[in-house]
Amino acid sequence: MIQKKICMVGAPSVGKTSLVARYVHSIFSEKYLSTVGVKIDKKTLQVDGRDITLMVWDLAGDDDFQPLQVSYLRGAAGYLLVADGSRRATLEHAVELHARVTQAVGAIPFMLVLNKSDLGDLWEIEDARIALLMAQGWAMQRTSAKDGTGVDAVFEQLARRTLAPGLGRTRGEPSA
Amino acid sequence: MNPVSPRSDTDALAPPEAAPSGDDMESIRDLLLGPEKRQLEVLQQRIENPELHAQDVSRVLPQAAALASARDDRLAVALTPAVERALKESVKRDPDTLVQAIFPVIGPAIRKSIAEAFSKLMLSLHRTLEHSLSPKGLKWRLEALRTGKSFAEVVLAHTLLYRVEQVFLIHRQTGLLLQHVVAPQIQAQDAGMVSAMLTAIQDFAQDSFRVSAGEALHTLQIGELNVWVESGPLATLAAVIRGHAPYELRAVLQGALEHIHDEQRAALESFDGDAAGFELARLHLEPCLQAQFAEAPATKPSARLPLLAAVPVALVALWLGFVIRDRRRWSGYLERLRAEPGIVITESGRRSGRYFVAGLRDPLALDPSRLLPQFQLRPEKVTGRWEPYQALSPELILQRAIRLLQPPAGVRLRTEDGVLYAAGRASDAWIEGARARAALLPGVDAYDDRELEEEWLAALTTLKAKLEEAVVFFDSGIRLAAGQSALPEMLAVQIHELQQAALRGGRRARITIVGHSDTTGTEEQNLRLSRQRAEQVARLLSEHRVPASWLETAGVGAREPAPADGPDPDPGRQRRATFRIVLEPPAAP
Repeated sequence: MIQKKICMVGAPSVGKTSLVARYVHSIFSEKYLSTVGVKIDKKTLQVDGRDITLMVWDLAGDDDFQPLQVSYLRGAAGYLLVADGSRRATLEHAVELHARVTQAVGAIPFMLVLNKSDLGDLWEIEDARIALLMAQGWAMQRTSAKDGTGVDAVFEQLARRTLAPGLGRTRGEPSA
Repeated sequence: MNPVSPRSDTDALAPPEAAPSGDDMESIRDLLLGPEKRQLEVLQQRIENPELHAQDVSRVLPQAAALASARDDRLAVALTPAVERALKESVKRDPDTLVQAIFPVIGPAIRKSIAEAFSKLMLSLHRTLEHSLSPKGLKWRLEALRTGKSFAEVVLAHTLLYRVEQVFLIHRQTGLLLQHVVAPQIQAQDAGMVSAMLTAIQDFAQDSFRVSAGEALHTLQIGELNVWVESGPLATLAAVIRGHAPYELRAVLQGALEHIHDEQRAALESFDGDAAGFELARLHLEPCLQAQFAEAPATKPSARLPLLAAVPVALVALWLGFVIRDRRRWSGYLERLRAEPGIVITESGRRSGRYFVAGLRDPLALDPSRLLPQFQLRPEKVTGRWEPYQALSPELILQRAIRLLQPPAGVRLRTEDGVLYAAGRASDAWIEGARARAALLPGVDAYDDRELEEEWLAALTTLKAKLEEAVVFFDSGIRLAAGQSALPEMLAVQIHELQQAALRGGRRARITIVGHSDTTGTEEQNLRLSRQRAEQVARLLSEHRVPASWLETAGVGAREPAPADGPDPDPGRQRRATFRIVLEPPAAP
């Protein structure tokens, strides 16, 4: 059984925890998020016929009161960069977080997750902005933690990328 | 080889007459020492040539090693550093070789160790459950009820000094679980998640308190649960410990972590999420699952244990048997005493190995100590303390009456509803005395002696009957018939007795002497004669001090003939005198 550590990173209230809550096995309460700043969940899935266990580190939303603790990203095989599709600012926040993470742990596989796809009318993010990011090599997936759209797919894609050779190892990266 | 002549030999030994040249010396040496020299050359070649020398040593080495080992430990001491280096080198080159070699030994050893720890736990539990009715056991049961924990948990909590319940081997960089061992009977949470969370908490502590990079969280304490964390450069070892483990356990954990680093350094460095290669680390983790119990029994229960336990049980049972038997005898004795009239038990029991009984006892009641043999109780084991009192039970009232009145043989006493009855025959003196004393008897409300006949009355009746049967026979005149000369005296005695008896009863006997005659002669003559005969008897009696005032006389002639005694009656039987007695009631005062 292959295990991989992945992290959920994003601005507060973008739906990171909801994304995880729907599909993972959890033994820890959400209190950990506000106390320790991280909550561990587990998701087992099959990628190309191989069983893989994702140890999902759900990191507390980055804000002035509880800034992202990049040390939690150490050793991660990949991460999901989560933004709220109905709030443009959260995408820019995610872009900024990506920079901080890359600086801390190096270039590791990640995916941009535009959550709350169910809020069709309230969608704020322009396709042009997404196209620009994708042009830089970003992988993107729209999800809805509410109705489950894209959630399985986003974990599966990230898992596949952590398994794929040549996308960078986390090992030996400086932690700060 | 050159032949050597005996002469040359002799010459060589003789003192030289002239110095020979160098060549000559060589020739001589060849001649003399040629064979030995060649042998020496062969030997030298063997020593100097490592290959040949090694062959030689290899031939004697096993034997030499065996001899040296048998002699003393020097060979072992000398070889130790080399062997240690060799082992280290072997591990460095390929740890698997050595691990595979010792795996068959270590595996069973670990299993044995775990099995022993587990059996100790079970034994401890077993013992505690066995003694669960002891005060301690009951206390623990109460605690279990109070806290809602199971009894076994409470027992474990009290008997366990510490127990390593789980050991996690965590990849330091990723926080991913490499290996996990759990003590028997422990319910573990998802080890992968716990491992990650432990790492997160480590990170959290490091970030929050700005400690230097080398420092790490060492201990987490949650109630009775401790998590000891040992960090190596590539892996972290976390032991979940219930209770208070000795500090030496740290060394055990560190040792295990070091060995894992040594053996699996390459695997740790290249870890990519696949923990399959760390199965061998279990060899080092399982010995960390240590436990120590406060009440570790010294020996295992053996098959003889029930037998050994049976001896005290039998002794206790025997002792209990004696105790129960003694108690039964004692209570039987007390019951018997309670039923005994005139005995009232106020206190009884057992003090310092002796029975005691105290109470009230009527002096007339049975002596309590006389009942002891009946209940197989030894008198020296029983103390009795009795205060005297007068019992009012019918039996005791009667006994007391008998004791006080001392009735003569002809008198029977009985009591009924507080009345003392006397029956039979007694002297008037006794009767009068009894009447006076019976009234003083405690418990006697009334005395009834109506069934008691006075002796005087009985005597009087007897004497009266006797005298009325008496007959004095006469000849044809007023002289007593032959053979009756002593009769008047006898009659006088009877009359005196009769009068005395009558006098005792306050009565008076009126005695009439009645004269009779046969039918010969006229009625007038017969009346006169019969009267004379009665007077004659009176006269004879007066000679024997029978006062005339006691006697009356009468003549009835032939009007009251004596019953015929046969077909040919003797007329002499009618010539007689008889006595008629009337007892008169006491004269009015």
